[in-house]
Amino acid sequence: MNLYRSFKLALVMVATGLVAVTVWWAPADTATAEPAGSNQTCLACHSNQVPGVPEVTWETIGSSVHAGNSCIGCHSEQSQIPHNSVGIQELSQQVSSNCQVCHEEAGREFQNSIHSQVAGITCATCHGDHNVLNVDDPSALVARKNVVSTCNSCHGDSNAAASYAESFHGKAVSLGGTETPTCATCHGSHQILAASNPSSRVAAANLPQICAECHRLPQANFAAGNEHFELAPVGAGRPMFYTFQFFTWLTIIAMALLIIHIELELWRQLRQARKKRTPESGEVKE
Amino acid sequence: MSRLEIQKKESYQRFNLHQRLQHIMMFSSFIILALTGLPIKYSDAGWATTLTLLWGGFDSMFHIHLGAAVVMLAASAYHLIYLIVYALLKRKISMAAVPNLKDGSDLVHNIRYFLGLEQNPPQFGRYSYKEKFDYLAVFWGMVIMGFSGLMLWFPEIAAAYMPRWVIDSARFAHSDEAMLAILAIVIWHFFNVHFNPRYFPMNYSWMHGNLSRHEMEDEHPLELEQPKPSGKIVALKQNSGRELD
Repeated sequence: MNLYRSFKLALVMVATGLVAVTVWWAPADTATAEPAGSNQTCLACHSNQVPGVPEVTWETIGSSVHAGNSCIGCHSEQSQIPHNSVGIQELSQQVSSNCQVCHEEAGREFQNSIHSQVAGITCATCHGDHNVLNVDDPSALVARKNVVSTCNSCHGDSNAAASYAESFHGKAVSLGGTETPTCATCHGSHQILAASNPSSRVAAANLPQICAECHRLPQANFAAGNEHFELAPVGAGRPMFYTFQFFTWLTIIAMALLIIHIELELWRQLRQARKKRTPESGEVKE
Repeated sequence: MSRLEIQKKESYQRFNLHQRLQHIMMFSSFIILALTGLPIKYSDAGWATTLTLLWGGFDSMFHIHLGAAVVMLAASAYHLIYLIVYALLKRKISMAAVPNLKDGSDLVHNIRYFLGLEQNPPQFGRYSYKEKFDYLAVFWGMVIMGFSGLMLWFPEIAAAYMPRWVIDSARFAHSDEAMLAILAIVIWHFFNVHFNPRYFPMNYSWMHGNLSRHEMEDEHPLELEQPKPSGKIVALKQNSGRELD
């Protein structure tokens, strides 16, 4: 009797252990393996099996934050098989509105932003498509390290991009500084508005408070002036332009004169040294 | 006998302990400031990324820059206090480092000598025009670098007293004056104290503070000629107890 009981207990313990181990391993399995069902159906055509059908690499989605999602979660318009072929712009718009199903707040902010008024800008423009990564992931398009070049893919030719790259903020971020601002630190991300809009983070009235997020004192004087000035003899960058010019010419002139002085001194020393040497060889009389 | 040994044997003090300490503080912080500042100035260059990583990343490099800046500011404060205390103790303001008309004529004379138009080089006193230039260049550089650096370090405080464009201009002044200083040190100062064939590999007086009789005759003959004063001129002090004349 006692023996039977112990045997039963041992059996229960082993069974519990097996279940625990299975549960323990299960999430890891679903994260790396292909999701079941519909995704397999999609990939039957979209994994370079059928000529003319765009290839989707499962590795890209599998390493993105959306690894656990099903294809039709985002591509809900393509839930029927066969589906109509769809252009990349239209597809991007469709998916973008589907993003907001889960990302409600970001979607709402984006709808109010100036970017939503520009044709062709969707979530994917900044976040990527199948390769969407968390903002904390260093490879994400919107990660601290990459966000400036992501903004620059549209704003690259602007004076703002050029002046940011030259600024201490821009240089520090490009060298990996973690305390200095990127574009998004001042301008915001989903809710970006034109500086002329009073609700914008970078509207003149709000700037002192934005600067004070890092620079402790919200001073009107501190935020006054043009952050994205152009280094030119006219406009906001004028004093900086002439400071730069002054020191550049001071350096060129000073170095030219000092080098001439050095060369002349060396030349004289060389002649002295030769003069000293020749009498020893007995060739020249004084 | 090496030059070092000769100098020990018969020497004239040129830099006292305070001045040597100020120089050591200055050049060690200068080297660190240059090596942590250049990657910021040339952040686009490939070597800038490498050098930043060698300092342990940008944040760490920047804090080392600020730390070295404190040492350099301390060296300048030390020097200014030294100048004041020295003048008070000796009850005399030394004009030895102030440029005068003789420096102008010495420069012309020296260039003529280099060109072979003069038989002998000009005779210098306590400080030659080159040495005065070196000293005043560092003085000017410290004023620019110190004030612009502090404005960039504490922009909120600076903004309370001056408009934004002054602070933005200070950043250009900081970066470009730094380049001028680095070039002046590497080209001019290194030539004068290291690469000049007379001193290569270096003029050791930054360590022991002395010049030999031979060097004094060569470089500061007028100082040597000065009659031994009865406590009036204190700049020249003998270490070895020998009489000047």
